[in-house]
Amino acid sequence: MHSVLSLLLAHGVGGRSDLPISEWIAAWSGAIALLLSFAALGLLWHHPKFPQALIGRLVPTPKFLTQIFLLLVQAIAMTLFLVVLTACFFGPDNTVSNIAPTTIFIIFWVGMPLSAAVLGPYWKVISPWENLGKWIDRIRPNSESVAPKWLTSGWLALAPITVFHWLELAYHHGSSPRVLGWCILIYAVLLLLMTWRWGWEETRKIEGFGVLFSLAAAISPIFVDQKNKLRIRYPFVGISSLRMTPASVAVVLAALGGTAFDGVSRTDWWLDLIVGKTGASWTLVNTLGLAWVSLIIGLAYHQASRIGSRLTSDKNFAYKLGGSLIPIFLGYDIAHYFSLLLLEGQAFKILLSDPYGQGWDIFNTASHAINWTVISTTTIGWIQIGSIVGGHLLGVLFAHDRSVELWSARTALRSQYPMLVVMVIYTIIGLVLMTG
Amino acid sequence: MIRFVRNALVALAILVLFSCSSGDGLDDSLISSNNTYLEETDEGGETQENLSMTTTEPPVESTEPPVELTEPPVESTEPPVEPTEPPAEEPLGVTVEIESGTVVGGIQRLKAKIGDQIRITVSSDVEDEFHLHAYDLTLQIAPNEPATLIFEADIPGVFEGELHDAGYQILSLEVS
Repeated sequence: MHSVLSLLLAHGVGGRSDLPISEWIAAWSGAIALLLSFAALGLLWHHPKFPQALIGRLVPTPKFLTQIFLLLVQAIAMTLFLVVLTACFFGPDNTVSNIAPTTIFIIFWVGMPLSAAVLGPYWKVISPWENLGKWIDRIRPNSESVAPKWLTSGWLALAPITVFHWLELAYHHGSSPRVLGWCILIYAVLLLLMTWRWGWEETRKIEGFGVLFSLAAAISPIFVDQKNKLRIRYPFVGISSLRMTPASVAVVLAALGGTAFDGVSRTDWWLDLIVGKTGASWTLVNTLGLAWVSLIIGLAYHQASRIGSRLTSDKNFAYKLGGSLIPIFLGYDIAHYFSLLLLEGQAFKILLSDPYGQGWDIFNTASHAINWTVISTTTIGWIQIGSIVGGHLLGVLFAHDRSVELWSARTALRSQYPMLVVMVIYTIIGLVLMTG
Repeated sequence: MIRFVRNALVALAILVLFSCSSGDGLDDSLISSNNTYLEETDEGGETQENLSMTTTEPPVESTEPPVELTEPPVESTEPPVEPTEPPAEEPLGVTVEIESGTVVGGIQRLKAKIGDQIRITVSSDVEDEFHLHAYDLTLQIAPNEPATLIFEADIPGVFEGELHDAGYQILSLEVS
């Protein structure tokens, strides 16, 4: 059989990518997106529309049934978490035949933000960290210690996202089940210790995945109000309810940067750069690449915000309009990964029947094979273009709505120019990467 | 001063990014248009609306002709197909040579259509195993003895072909 090294893959999991989309389609969609953005800016509306739509409408939920349902979902999620964690150490030491890499890189990392954007903040229900944290909160001694600034500012939420990207895209052993297992354990212990000392309310701010997924969930029509009641509203308007902080803007930018680097690392240019590189030198080149692409994405936004701040004399410009990065991130995420979720994601169903590689067949799916033609390449191409352009448009729309809320019409319009430029740059980067 | 340095850095970084898919026809036009973006952001003036409109559209037109140009060089890097095996249908072929830990002539690329017969020949100066993802085909390679894989292209997409022991990608197969 294969040696341990044998199935290390370049991008977390999966050695398939989508066909490059044609350049003229990409260029035309970019141009159309631009035109529509201008229309949105100048003509569409002059008064903010999102904030009134925030309240939504109450969805009556029978209390008892809801609780049963939530408990059930929690139990399933917790079981899956424990199965994956134990499979990391005791399952086959192989990226493809172990359930952990597929679950972590595809189901969790791609599936969670995309499904949260549709189904709402359900990560809070199933998150093992959330459940662990709340449980610790109940049993920990009441301590008077005030959480330090480095915890409450939330900047540390960047750490889990960055480490995850590094494992997925840069580290040459990153998709090894054992490495993933240790990372999960270390992360759990760190969160546990911090919760013990300062409580989960504070520690939650640095659980990067939770932060990212709850930002993605703001787009969803489904949400939970302050009284813990389920409500629905128009999709997407929820972004207006977010109070973005410098740290949460940075988390979205980091997620965006990693996705962009994944695209870069599949270009011919990058492949030729790393051909023949293995081990530490492979890791080094990819680490530099990841840092460099993330830096471009971050600096572009930073620069646009500085100019925006100057135009509006509002030094918090970057956070007030930061919500527009969320649809852009989701658009990038769909464009890069939804075919991975749909195709390689099928491996999850197969591996679930035999999570420890013991020859089991629990759900009678162990002998299934991946159906690679479940979606046509043409459809994939259109979804990619649609999601990048659509994400960009929604971003512009939100930025516009927020700026007419905050500033006078004239200032609002002017404040949009730098945002528009940065979003057009992101769209072009996204489309260029899609053309291979 | 610091602002200037930072702007220059952004400009440089984005320039390098757009040289990524070099030889892509799209690049040259995009590089110039991006420069303009950055100059605009520096000024932060009112005229941006018109500027960015005019600068992004040229690439739309200019991208079409060079598209054709990208294909010949790709094919020319492939060594000529040796007509050694005479199958019923001449397969589309690529030969990858591995020498002292790297691929001779860089990563080899092969473009095929669904239904094409594909031949992949790998020769290496050390023992290894070749693996083509998704198709999930493997090929044992003995030192200095070229080994060949023949199969039908029936899954669309771009696929990585890699060496297991050496652990790097040597081939990119595009099936459309």
